[in-house]
Amino acid sequence: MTATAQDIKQLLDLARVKLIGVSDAALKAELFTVLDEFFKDSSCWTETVQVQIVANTTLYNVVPNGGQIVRLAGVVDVNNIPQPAIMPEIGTIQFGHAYNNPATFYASLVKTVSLPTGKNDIPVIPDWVIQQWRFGLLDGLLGNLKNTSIGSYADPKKAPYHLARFRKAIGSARVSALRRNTIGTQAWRFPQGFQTSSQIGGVSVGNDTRFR
Amino acid sequence: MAANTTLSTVTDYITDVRTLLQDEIAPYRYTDPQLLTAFNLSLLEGRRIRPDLFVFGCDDFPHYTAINANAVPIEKQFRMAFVFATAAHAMARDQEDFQDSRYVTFMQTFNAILLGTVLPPIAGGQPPGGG
Repeated sequence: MTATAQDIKQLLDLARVKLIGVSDAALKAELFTVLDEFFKDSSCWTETVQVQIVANTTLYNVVPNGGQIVRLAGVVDVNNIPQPAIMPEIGTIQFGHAYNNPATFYASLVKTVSLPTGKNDIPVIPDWVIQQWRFGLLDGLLGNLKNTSIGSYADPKKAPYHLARFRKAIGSARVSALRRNTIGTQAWRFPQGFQTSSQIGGVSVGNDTRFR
Repeated sequence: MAANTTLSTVTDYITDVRTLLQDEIAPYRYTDPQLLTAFNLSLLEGRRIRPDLFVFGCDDFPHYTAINANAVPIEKQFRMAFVFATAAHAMARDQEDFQDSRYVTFMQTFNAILLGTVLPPIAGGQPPGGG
C-alpha cells in the first residue's frame, strides 16, 4: 500500500512552515532526494519476489512492483534455506550453480524510489515509511534545503544539525530493518557458509526468529 | 472555500501591472507589447534566481505573445513578485527621479519575495565637482 496523500501533505506542510519562502517544486524535488538516500543507506524497503527456477539456468531477471532495485538481500528456497546468489547487474540474479529440478525460490530485493514519480510529482513509497520515519525525513528535507547558498530559507549553520539527525534516522531504520522490526533479537547471524540446515546428528539449529 | 485563482492568467498579471503603473485608461502610456516583453523578461529573471519555481509544470519555459487567458504556471505565493518585476521593467525607460525610485523599490520587492533579501539600490557616481 502506498503512502497516502494526507501523510505526504503533512510532511511537506511541516517542512514548509520551517522553510519560509520555499517553493512546492523545491520541496517535492528534495523529497525524492531525501527518500532515495534514506532507502539506499538503510535498506529498509524490501520486496520479496518469486523466482521460478528452471533446470540448467543460472541467470534470472526480476522486476519489482514499484520502485527500483538497489541490491539483492538474499534468496531462499521453499524451505527458507538461503541459496548462493549475487546480482551482477541490477535486475539480474545469478546463482552459484545451475539447479537440476524446477523449483520456486524467493528473492528479497532492497528498493528505493524511482522515476517517473506518481501523481503530483510525489514518489511512490510504502505507507509505513512516513508513519514510521516522519521526523527523520523532515530533518532530511530541512537539512538539504537549508544547506543551499541562496534563498530566504538558506541557513548553512543549522543545516548540519538537521542532516546529523537525518543520518541518525537512517541508522535507526537500518537497524530496525535488520531486526525485522522486533525488539530483543540479535541483529546479526553467523555467516551462512557455517549453517546447518537439518538436525542430522541431533544438533538443533535455531535462533530467536527462526527454527529449523 | 474556493480555490485561490488570484493572478492565474496573463490578463490577470497585465491588469494588475497597469494598476501599479496607474495606466488603466486608454490610450495607454505603456503599450500591451511593451508590458508583455516586460512580463516575459520578469519570468526569465525569476528563473535565473529561483530555478526551482519552473521545475515542474513547465516542459517548455513559458513565453507569451498575447494578453489572454493563458495560464501562467507560477506557484501562488510567488505571483506578486512577477507583477512588481514587470512594472519595474516598464518604468525603467522613464527618466524621472520619482520613477527611478519606484523602479528600485519594485525590483527590491521582487527580490525580497523570491530571495528573502533586499538588494541595495543601484547608486550613481559623484557628480563632477561635487563635494
